[in-house]
Amino acid sequence: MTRLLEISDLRIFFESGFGKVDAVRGVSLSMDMGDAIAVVGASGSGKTVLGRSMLGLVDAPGVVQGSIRFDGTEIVGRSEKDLRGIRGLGIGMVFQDALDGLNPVYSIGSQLSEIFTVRLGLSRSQAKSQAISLMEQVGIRRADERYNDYPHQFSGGMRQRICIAMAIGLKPKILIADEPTTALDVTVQAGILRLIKSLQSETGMGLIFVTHDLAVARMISTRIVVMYAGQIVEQGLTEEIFLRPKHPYTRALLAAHPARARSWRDLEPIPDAFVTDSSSGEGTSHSSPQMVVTS
Amino acid sequence: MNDHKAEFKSPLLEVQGLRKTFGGRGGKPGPIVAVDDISFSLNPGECLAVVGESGSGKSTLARTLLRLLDADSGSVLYEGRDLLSLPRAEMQRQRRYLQMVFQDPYASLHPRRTVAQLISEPWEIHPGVVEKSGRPARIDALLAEVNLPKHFSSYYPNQMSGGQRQRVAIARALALEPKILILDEPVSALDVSVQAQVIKVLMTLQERRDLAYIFISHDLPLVRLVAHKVAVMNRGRFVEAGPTDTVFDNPSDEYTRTLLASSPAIAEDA
Repeated sequence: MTRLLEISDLRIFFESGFGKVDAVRGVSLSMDMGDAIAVVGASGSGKTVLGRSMLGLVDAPGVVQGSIRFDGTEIVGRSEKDLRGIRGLGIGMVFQDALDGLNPVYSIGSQLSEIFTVRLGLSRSQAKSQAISLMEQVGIRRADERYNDYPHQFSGGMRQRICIAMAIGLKPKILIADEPTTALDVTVQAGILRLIKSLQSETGMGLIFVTHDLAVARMISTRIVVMYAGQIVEQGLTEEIFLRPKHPYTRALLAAHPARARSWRDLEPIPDAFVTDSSSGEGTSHSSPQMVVTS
Repeated sequence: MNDHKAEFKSPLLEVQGLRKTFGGRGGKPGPIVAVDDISFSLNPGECLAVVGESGSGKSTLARTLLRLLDADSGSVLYEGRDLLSLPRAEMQRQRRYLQMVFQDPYASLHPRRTVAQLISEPWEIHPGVVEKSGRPARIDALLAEVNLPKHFSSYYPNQMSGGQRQRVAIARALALEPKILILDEPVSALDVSVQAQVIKVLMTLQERRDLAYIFISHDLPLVRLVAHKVAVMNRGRFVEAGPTDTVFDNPSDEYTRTLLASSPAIAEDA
């Protein structure tokens, strides 16, 4: 049987003036409809570029090798034209910063209905009614009145709801969400996470949720993939990871999380051996995490 | 802390009826009330967390305390003197005792200054604090206090990670030997995995130097670990304030309960 998504031995690297930087080093991962996978890792672990590669969004000088099969179709090496058929229709994506995803000079409604006129060839009035029902679906109240509003008239949480609406509007089989709540307040974050969960259970789509926060991963996922230095160091059922983390890095992530401690004294900073310095480009050139001794 | 009878001494900082509005003309109060009748006190070694969402007024409160913004009314008594009515030059001198650490260490550190220059800049403004000849040694000592090795003094911000940058910002805030640090979301720009390291540095410093902290945050699990008392801010007001355990275990305000319920949690097991 064809898996919905099958990634095998994926490698992504960037050729920079300082030499080759490996961002993803041999990742294999697969998922089916209804799966909710959280990809957890620190800055520089390669989680974001992994997500982007599934939509063919790794630009030069980035090089992608290996295989990403979506519904049996290979994505690596595909032309822009072919990829356009997959983006949105097959795989939708939500980014961290909702403001970057919306054009400030077009109304919310015109940006939403555009996906239906351009991609499905609907008439303007059909597209408008589709867009309004989509706005309602993501929890925008009085959607018909807000249709002509501009992004600056929406709060951060509402903008992110609109970005989610755009990502799911064409009913993709997979939704990739890259830190969609990191820029939001906790109460707003809770609402967005609930929305993504309910949309997923309504549509049965697969979800890939990229985050640095294990507590958020726990709320949203059924499976967790822990990334470190471009590799998957541990993966398993969400509850299993929390109850019995196997890899020392996963254990270190849990020990550093404030929600687990009773006093700040209980917090255990990530050991220096694990600290990657993404800003100086050293992040992924670190020695293999498996070499770190278990405490 | 009843055993120390701290409540019979006058507090280090006492804020009474602080109010700040925006949109007013000609020095008159405006229609937008950002800080609405805020009162609290703070003792040495104490950590007060101010929690609330974007727009609740918590950053405006911090800026008003330091007179980076002018308050409409109220008083901010530091060791018994009202900072809000001091002449500007005298306020300038007092500022060394109240320092601030900002949220984003990528924005708060000048990209073309070395760590040594960044840490010593406050001494140009307050020349009496550390003599010129003693400055290099003091820079090393400050770096050691934030767990950074000496050789970082020649680094530029772009050579450091976010957690290292924030520790430099903390070292700079300490350069003037302050009594109070206002920490405005000091770790929320950092990955959860680096937050722990910065928090440990901050809390160890607080104990060692008996510093008073005003810790502004929206991260409730973190606040629970560091704060002695918590004030929940909503629409410019403290809707609830009290000892940390009381606020977390028996929240009396509806808004506090919403905040607590929204916070993602990792199970109580382990």
